[in-house]
Amino acid sequence: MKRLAFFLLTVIAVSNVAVAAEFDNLVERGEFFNEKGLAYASDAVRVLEKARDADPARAAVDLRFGNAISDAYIKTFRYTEAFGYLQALMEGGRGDSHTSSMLDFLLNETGAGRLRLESAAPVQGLTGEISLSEGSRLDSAGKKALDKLEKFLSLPHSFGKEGLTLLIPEGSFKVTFSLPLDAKGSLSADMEIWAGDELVQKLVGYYPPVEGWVVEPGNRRVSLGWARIDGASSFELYRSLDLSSYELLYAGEEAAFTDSNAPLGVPIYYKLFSFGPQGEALAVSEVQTWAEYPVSEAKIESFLNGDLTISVPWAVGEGSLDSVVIWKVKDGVAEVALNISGETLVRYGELLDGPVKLTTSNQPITYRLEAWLSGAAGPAAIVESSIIIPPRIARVDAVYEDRDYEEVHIEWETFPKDALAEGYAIYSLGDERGVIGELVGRVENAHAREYNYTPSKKLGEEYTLRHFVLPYIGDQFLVKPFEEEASAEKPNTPFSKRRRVGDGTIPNLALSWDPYEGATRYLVTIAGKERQIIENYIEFKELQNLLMGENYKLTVEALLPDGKKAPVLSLDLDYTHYPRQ
Amino acid sequence: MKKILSLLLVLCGTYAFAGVKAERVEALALGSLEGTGQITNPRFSPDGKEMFFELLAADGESSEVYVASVDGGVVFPPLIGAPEAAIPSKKKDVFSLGGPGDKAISEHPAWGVSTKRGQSIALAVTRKEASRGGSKINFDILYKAPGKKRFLTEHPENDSEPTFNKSGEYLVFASGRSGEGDLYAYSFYADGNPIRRLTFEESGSELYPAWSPNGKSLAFIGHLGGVDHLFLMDDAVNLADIKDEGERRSKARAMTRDLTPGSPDSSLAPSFSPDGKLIAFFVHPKNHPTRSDLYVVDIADGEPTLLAESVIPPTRDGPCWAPDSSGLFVVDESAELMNPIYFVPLNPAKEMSLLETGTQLNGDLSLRVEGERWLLLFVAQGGGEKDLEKRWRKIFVAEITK
Repeated sequence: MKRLAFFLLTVIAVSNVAVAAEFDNLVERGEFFNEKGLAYASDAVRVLEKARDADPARAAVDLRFGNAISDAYIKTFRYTEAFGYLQALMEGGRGDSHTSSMLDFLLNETGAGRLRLESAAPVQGLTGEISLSEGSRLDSAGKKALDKLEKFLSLPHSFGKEGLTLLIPEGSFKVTFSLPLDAKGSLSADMEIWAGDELVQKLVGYYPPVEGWVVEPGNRRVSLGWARIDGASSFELYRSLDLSSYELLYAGEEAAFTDSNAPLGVPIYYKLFSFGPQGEALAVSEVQTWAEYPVSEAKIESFLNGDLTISVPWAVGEGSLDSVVIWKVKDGVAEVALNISGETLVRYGELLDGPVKLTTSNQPITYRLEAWLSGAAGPAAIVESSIIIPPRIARVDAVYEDRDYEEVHIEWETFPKDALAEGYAIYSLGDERGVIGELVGRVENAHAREYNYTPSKKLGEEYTLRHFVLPYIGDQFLVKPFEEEASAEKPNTPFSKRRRVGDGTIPNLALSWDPYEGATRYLVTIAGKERQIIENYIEFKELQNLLMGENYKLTVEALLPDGKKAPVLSLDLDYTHYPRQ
Repeated sequence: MKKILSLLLVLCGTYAFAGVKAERVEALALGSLEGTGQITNPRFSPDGKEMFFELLAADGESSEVYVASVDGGVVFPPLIGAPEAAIPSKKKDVFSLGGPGDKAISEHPAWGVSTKRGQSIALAVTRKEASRGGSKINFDILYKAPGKKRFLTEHPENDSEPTFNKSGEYLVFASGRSGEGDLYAYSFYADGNPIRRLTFEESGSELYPAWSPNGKSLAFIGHLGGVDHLFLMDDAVNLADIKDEGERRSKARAMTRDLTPGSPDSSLAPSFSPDGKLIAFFVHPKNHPTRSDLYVVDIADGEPTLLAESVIPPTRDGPCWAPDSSGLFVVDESAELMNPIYFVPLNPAKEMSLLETGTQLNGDLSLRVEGERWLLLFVAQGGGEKDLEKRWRKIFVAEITK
């Protein structure tokens, strides 16, 4: 490796030496041709330009080369090019007396006047044409100089604030310059130039600093403001995306404009021309900016609520935005869950979907947010959130009961473990004959796995309650009652003495009904209290206090094997119906 | 003519001094150049704002053309700025200007046209011929105008006697490039090679070109049969415009007339009258080859007329015409009167006038019209006690009245 590096360095060094030797040799030949007079000036130019090509960096600063090529250029009437070299040598402090003499000769003896092109802004690729005005003519030297100048101007030239000086033979001309800076494309001028004159053509007289601009990018819009320079009475604002073609956006007297159709996400170049009262261009300035970038960030999440609805909060970040679409994808089918735009467009919100219908298996759902710009081929931002809706509960595996003073705390487990129901009905095992359980409460939260309540009876030390839990969806219990094992133990409270309606003990109630075919249990509800019983018969005690001044509906429903309920009977109860005896 | 002149002087008596007079005569101050050499050939520029003259250095080694600004106005004599060498000898030799050493030799200046930016001038200047090696010196024609200075010619043989035509579009010069001296025109606005040969005589040289006032015809001296004759090329401009030299050669002779046919005498230095009808020229009589006589020839009938004998031709160019073409100013070769200046009217019935300039050894007359006055420019030694140093001639200007 070291040997290779050494070899490369050696090659480079040898190469540099060879270039330097070639350069020196060519310059020497150029000087030789120069010494031989006008007849050999073209040969001098040829070899000296070859030297320049061999080592451009050295040619740019080398005094000997600069003098030689200037000499050759002058002899071949390429005055402008000679002036460029001589001026650079003198201004760079590298010129000698010969340089100075040639410069003096150019300016005072060639019959050329100077046209100095000045531009406050850098100029790239300037070309031009020059032609004699009608009625004007040149002597033979002038013709040669003009011919060479025409060739010079046909090639693109770049320069900065130092400007470009053209040496033009004495006469009257029409000069046209391409103006890469100028959206108008060209500048023409008729000029009479005399030998020794120096005329100035300002391409761009003033280049206001970018700080003079106020640029406020927005959604597909850029608000522009600019400083009004002295003497400016009107403006033209052009827009370019490629720095080659310009589109006129605004012409007027206001010093501000809003480009409301700015392309997004690409650099935009604005060029401002300030014009004087006579329409003369006073200044050109340019600024580069962007319209606001499209939205690139967004976020979406999804949560299953206790009521089996799905909350989908979302937000989109800063940037240009025309619409927000949220797709819901389920079972391979996508449907629009949200589509907002225009006046309804907001950048954040929460979509509420559902409630979902539980099934026996997992249900994956994906919510996909798309942030759109009108007319775009694709969304500017896209994010997804997926949620898996668990299956409905197949069974309640276990019920745990605990007692804390007078409050009973119940927990349960389900299978599948994370399975869901719309709600849960919690029953305490009945202490009355035929009553399996008495509803103590419902929890309408799909995720619920616990329930607390305070029994109406004061619990003694020995008093024990047993509970079972029936998850449900709508009016359907998910768990078949005959599979319910929670009430395995019978209450140890003895079945009290039965009383029948009308036996004088008001208000006790005994109620029976025809068996409902297929019913596994009956649900009897009175005064909001639900009981599950096995037989088609039930007794109620202590109804008197309950019925005083109140009307109650008593309903009996048959609980079917599929968990659904079927109404059996319904009674309106009030004290009138059951008068105290 | 000398005899005629003397006779006229005697016959006319005091009347001889009536007519044209030199009202005021003053020497022009040349500053540091005074006393450094022999001054010749002073000429005001057509726009009257400049003056050139030649200075033969005291050592006789070199001559230089100087140019000075002139502020005419109404003052007399005109105010002269410090003369400057037409070719600054101390300047770095950028493009092979200069003669032996650092000093250019320049001579034979000729004013061209003036523009609003100033006056053009052509002169013969030596240049180093580096391309030919060695130190061979020759003259080429240098053209100068405000902001312009360039050699119009570059040839190993001498080019000299540049003369602009009236429009300034053509400059005729004599060149040795053909081997025997020929006239060439430099056409400023020509396409292609601007240098056009105008004379093609094989056995003689052509010199002393002089343009007609309208800038179209050209008078010159051609060597023919052992003597120098006066020729007139009627339409030299047309000839100069012919690109093809063969065609030009074939037409040149047809365009050229010998205005002194059959003359055994040698002519030199022709000069058109301002009205363009006559040509004055000097003649060296065959039997008095050192004498110069003044002749006039009408270009229409071509019969030369002797106007004055024993005059002194100027260093350059031809006789000095009065602006109204009524006569010529000449320097009489007179040891007795120290070469006085006379005005010789064309009309024999009119008297010639001796100009009392108070100067001696006059020469190189030229005349310029400024408004109502004529200014006669000449070189001379001062007369009487005024001029303590009489070795070197000065430039004098005389205000002439008729």
